[in-house]
Amino acid sequence: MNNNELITRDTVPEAARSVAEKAGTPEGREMFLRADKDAILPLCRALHDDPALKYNFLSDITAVDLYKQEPRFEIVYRMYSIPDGRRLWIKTAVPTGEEVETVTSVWKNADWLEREVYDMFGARFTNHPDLRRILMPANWIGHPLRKDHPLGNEEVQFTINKDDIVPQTAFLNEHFEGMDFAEYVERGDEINTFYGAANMRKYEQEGRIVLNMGPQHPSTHGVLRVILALEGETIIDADQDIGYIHTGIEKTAESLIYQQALTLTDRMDYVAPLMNNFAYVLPIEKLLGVEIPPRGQFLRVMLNELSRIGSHLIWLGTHALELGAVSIFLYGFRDREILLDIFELLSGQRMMTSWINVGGLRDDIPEGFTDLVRYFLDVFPSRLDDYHALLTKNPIWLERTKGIGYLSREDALNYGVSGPILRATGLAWDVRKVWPYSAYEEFEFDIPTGENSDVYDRYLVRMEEIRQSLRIVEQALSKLPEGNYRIEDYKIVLPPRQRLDVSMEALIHHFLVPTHGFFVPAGDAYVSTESPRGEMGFYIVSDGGTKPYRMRMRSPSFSTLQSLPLMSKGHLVADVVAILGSVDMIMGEVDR
Amino acid sequence: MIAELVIFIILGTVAVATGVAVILSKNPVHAVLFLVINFFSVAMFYLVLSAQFVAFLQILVYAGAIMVLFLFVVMLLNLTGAIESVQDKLPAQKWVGLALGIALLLEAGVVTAAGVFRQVPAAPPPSPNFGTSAPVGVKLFFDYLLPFEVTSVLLLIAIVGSIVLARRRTY
Amino acid sequence: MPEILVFLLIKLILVIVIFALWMTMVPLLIWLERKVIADIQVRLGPNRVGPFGLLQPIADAIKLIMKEDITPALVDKWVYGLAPAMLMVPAFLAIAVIPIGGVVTIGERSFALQIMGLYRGPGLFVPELDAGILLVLALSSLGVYGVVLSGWSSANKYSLLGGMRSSAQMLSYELPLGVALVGPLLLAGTLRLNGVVEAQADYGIWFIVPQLVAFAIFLMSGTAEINRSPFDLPEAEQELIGGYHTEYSSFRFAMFFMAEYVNMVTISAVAATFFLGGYRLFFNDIVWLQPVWFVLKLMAFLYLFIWVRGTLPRVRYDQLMKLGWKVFLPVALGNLLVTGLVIAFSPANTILVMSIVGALLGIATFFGLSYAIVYGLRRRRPESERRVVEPTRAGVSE
Repeated sequence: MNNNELITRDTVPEAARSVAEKAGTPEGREMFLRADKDAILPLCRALHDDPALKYNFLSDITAVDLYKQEPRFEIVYRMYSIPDGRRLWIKTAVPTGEEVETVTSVWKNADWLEREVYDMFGARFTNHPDLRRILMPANWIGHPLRKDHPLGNEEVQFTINKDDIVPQTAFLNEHFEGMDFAEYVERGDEINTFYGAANMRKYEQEGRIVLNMGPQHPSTHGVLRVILALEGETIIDADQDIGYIHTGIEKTAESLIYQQALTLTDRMDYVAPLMNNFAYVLPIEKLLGVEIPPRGQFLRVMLNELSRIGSHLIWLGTHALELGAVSIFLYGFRDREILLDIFELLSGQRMMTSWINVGGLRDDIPEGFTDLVRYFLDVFPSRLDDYHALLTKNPIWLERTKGIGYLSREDALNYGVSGPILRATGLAWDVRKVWPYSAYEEFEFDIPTGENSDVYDRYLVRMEEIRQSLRIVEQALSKLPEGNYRIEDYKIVLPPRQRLDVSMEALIHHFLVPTHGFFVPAGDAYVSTESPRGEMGFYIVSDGGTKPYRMRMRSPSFSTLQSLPLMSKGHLVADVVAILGSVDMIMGEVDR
Repeated sequence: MIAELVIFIILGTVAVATGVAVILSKNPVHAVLFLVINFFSVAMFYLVLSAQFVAFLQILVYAGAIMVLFLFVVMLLNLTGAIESVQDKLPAQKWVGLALGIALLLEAGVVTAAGVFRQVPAAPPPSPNFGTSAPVGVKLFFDYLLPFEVTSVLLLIAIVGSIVLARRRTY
Repeated sequence: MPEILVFLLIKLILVIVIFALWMTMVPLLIWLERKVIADIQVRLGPNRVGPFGLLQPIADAIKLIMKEDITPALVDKWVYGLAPAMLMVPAFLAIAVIPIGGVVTIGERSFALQIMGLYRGPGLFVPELDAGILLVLALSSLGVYGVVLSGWSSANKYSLLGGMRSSAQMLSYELPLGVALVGPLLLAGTLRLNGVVEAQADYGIWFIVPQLVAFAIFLMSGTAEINRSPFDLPEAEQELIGGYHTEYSSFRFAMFFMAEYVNMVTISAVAATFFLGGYRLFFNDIVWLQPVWFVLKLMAFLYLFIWVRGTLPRVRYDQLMKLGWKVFLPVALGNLLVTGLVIAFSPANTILVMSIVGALLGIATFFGLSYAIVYGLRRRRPESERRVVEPTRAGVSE
C-alpha cells in the first residue's frame, strides 16, 4: 500500500483526504505524509481504527521550530502498525498561536508527548485533558526548545534573590488561586504533597491517605515522583510527576557539533550508554549516506549486546533488591563489574564511553579485549543459572510477582509500551528483528515472549534476553571480520595518526574534524533501535550545517511510565515497588 | 507487711492516677497508653496477691493484645481532630454520672466506716503452689469445666458474629 | 549475713553476668551478621576497625551516639521520645527467665543459672518463676507498642504505614508462636523453662524431633514476631524507607537497632531451650560448662536468621497475614491436637510414639506447605482480569 492508496481509503474522512498533501517516497514499509493541521485528528482516528491500516502504536510526537518561517512549528507524528511492521510519518505545519486537535483520544500515550511539545515549544493542543508543563518546573517562563529562547545568561536562583527571579505572584495566581506568598511558605508541606498533582487533592478531601512516593525514594530508580491515593494499603489512583533531572540535552545539542553532542547521549540512559551512542549515530549516518564496514558493525552489535546485559543486570539487581533479595543486587553488580572492566579497557571510561562514533568506532578494540569478553562468556552463564535457582521458583518471588502489574496487549500498544514489557504480553516485537539495523540480520537469536503480561513474565523475558544477548556476543566474537572498523572518509572521521607525518591534508582534517565538525546534508532522519527498555531512536533534523538543527530522543521509558497508574491500580504499595522494578525505567532517559 | 503496704499504696496511686488520666486525656492515643499503664498496675496487684499466672495473663491478653487492637483502631480512625467536634447527644448524662459517682464514693465510705471488712477473718497463708499454673489449671478444667466451655462457645459465637458483620456482602 | 542478703547478692551477680552475656552477644551478632551477609554477597564486610573488623559495632555505636538527635517539628513529643524505650525495655526483661545453665551447688546453697530461677539456702527457698514462658510471651507482645507508637507519633505517612503493618503482624504472629510452644510444654509437663530443659535431658531426646512441626512454626513465626527478613515489612526500606523508625536518629535509632538484635537473641534462646535441649547435653556434664553449650546452640539459630536474610526476598503484607492465619495457626493447632492425642492414648511410651509421629508429621507438613505455598495460596486474579494472552509471533521471523 502506498500513500495514494492509503489516503483514498473509504475510512479516511473526506476532510483528511482532500487536505492531505502527499509527499515523500514509500521506502519499504515506511511511508510519509504531510497533512493539514485540521485533518490530524480525523486522519489519525482513521489510521488507528481502519482494520486494514491499524496504526495501533504511536511512537512519538515531537515538533521542530522553524524559526523565522511561517508556519513556525512543524509537528511530527510517527506511528507503527504492530505487528505488521508498517511505519508512517505525518508532518503538519502549525502557525504561531494556533492549536492542533489532540490525539489523546486515539492513543493514550499522546498525553505526555503532547504535554512535552507544549512544554518545550508552546504549541497548544485543543481538548487535551490536562495540558500543563511536564519536564520544566511549573513556574518556568518561556518554552526552552524554541530557537529564540535565551541560551544561558540566566541568573542563578538563590534564597537571597529567588523572589526577584521567580515571579511568585504570577505563579501563585496560576496554580494556587492567588494565595499570598507567606501562606504558601506556611502551608508548604501540604502544598508540596499536591504540587504538580492537584488532581489527587480530591482523595485527601475524601479522607484517604495520599502518599508521595519520591522524588527521593529508594525504589523509584532516581527522581521519579509517584503520588498514590490509598485505601488502607490498596492503591485506588496514582499520578506521576517527572522532570526532576531534566537537563535540556536536546537544547544543548543544538549548539554543539555532532561529535560533541554524542557525549551528551551517554548521559541519557546512563545504564547502557553505548546504546545511546549507537542510536544517535545511526540517523546521522543515514543522512550522510555512509556504509560502515562489517568489522565496525559487528563490534557495534557486540558492544550493544554487552550493554544490554549490563543494563539487565542492573535491572535484575535493583528489582530483586526492591523485593528484599539484597544478595542478588550485589551479584548483579559483581557481574556488571566485568562488563565495566571491558568498557574501561576499551575506552578508559567505565560509563560515559562515547565509543561508537559517526562513521564507525572511535578506535579498534585493544589487545586483551577479546580475552576479557571470552572470560565473561565463560563465567557468566553459570552465574545466570544461579540467579534462576535463587529466584525463578522461589515461592516468595512467585508470590510477589505473579499476577502483579497486569497490562493487556491492547493497553500496552495504546500506551506506546515497547521492549520487554510489550514482549511479556506475548507479542514478539523486537526492532532488531522487525527493522534490522547495523548487522543484526546476520545474527541468530530468538525473541523471548511471555504469556501473562505480569511482573513475573517480564522477569522471565528479560532473563531470557540476557541469554540471547550472550548468544549474539558469542557469534559476534567468533565471526568477527577482519578489515577496517570505520569508514575511510576523513572528512567525517579522524585520519590515522601516522598519516599526519606524511600528509598535509590529513593534518588539516585532524584539525577541522574535531573543531569544526563535518557537514551533514539537510534533511531529517530517524532510526529505531532496540534498547533494553524498548524502542529507542534519535530524530535528527539537519539544516546542512555541522550542528544538529534539532535532536530528539524517543525514549522508551517515557512512554512506558505513563502506564504505571493503570498497572498499579488495585494493588498494594509493596506491589508498586515490584511494578516499578519491572518497568525498569531510567529517569535520565525519561527526563533527558 | 510494711513492704506490702508500701507497694500497695504506690500501685494504688498509679492505678487511680492513670485511670483518671484515661478519662481526662484529650488525645485518644495518650488515653490508650494510660490505660495500658493502668493494666500493668493491676497485674502488679495480682502479683502482690501471689497470683502470678493471672498477672502474666493480664499483661499478655489485656496489655499485649487487646490494647494494641484499641490503638490500631484509634490510629486508623484518626480521632485526633474529630474529638473536638463530637456533639454531646445526652447532655444530662454528665450530671447523672457525677451524681452516681458521688453516691458510689459515699456508699464505699459508709461501708468502710461501718466496719464491714473488719469482721472478715484473716485468710490462712496461701500454699506455696497458690497462683501457679497447675492449681489454676485444675480449678479451670475440673471444678469449673462447664463455665469454661460455655465461655469458649460464647467467644466462638462472637468471632463468627464479627466475621459476618465485617464480611463484604458483594460477591 | 542474713540469708536474704546472700540471696540478693547472688541474684545481683546473676543479673550482671547474664545481662553482660546478652550485651556481648548483641555487638557480636551485629559483627557476625555483617560478616556473614558480606560473605554471602561476595563482599568483604567490616575489616578496618580492630582485628577482622571486630570492633566495628563499637565504632558504630559511638557514631550513633555522637550524632545529632533530631526531633521533627510535628511529632507528638512525649510518645515520640518514649517509643524506643517501650521497644527496648521488654526486649531486655525477657532475659530474666531464660536458663543459661543448670543448678549450681556451692556449699549448702544451690541456685540455678537463671535470673528468676530456683534458690535454696539455709532457711530460704525461692522456687523458679512458675509461668516463665508466659512472661516471655507477654513481654514479646508488649514490644509492639514501641513500634506502633513510634510509627504513629512520627507524623509521617510512611512511618504510620509501618506502624500499622507491625501492629497487625506482631499480633497475628503471637498466636502461632504461642500455640507452637504448647506442644513441647505438654511433653515437658511444666511451664518452667528449666523444667523444659530437664525434661528433654530425661527423655534423652531433643524436642526438635517429636515437635518438628512446632519447631518450624516457632522459627518462622518468631522471625515474623521480631520483624526479621523475610518478614521485615514494618521497616521494608525499599517500600517504606525504614517504616516506623524513619524519623529517628542518634541514640533513639540505636535503641531500635539494639532492641531488634536483643529480640533476635532472645527468640534464639527460647528456640534453643525448647527444641535443642537448652544448656544440657545428653550426658551429665559440668554445670559450669553448660552456658557454653547454650551459647553454641544460640549461635546456630542466629546464624540461621542471618542466612535467611541473605537469601530470601521479602513477602508482601497481605501474604504474610494469610500465611499467619491460614497456614501457621491451623498447623500449630493440628500439631497441638496430635500431641495431646498421643499423650492421652499412649501414656507408657509417649516420647517414642511422639518422636515417630512428630518426625513423619513434620515431613508431611513440609511437603504439604511447600505445595500449598507454591500452588495453592497464590493470589488469583479476578476472572474479569484473567485474559490469557496467546503468544504470537506474527510479523516477526525468528
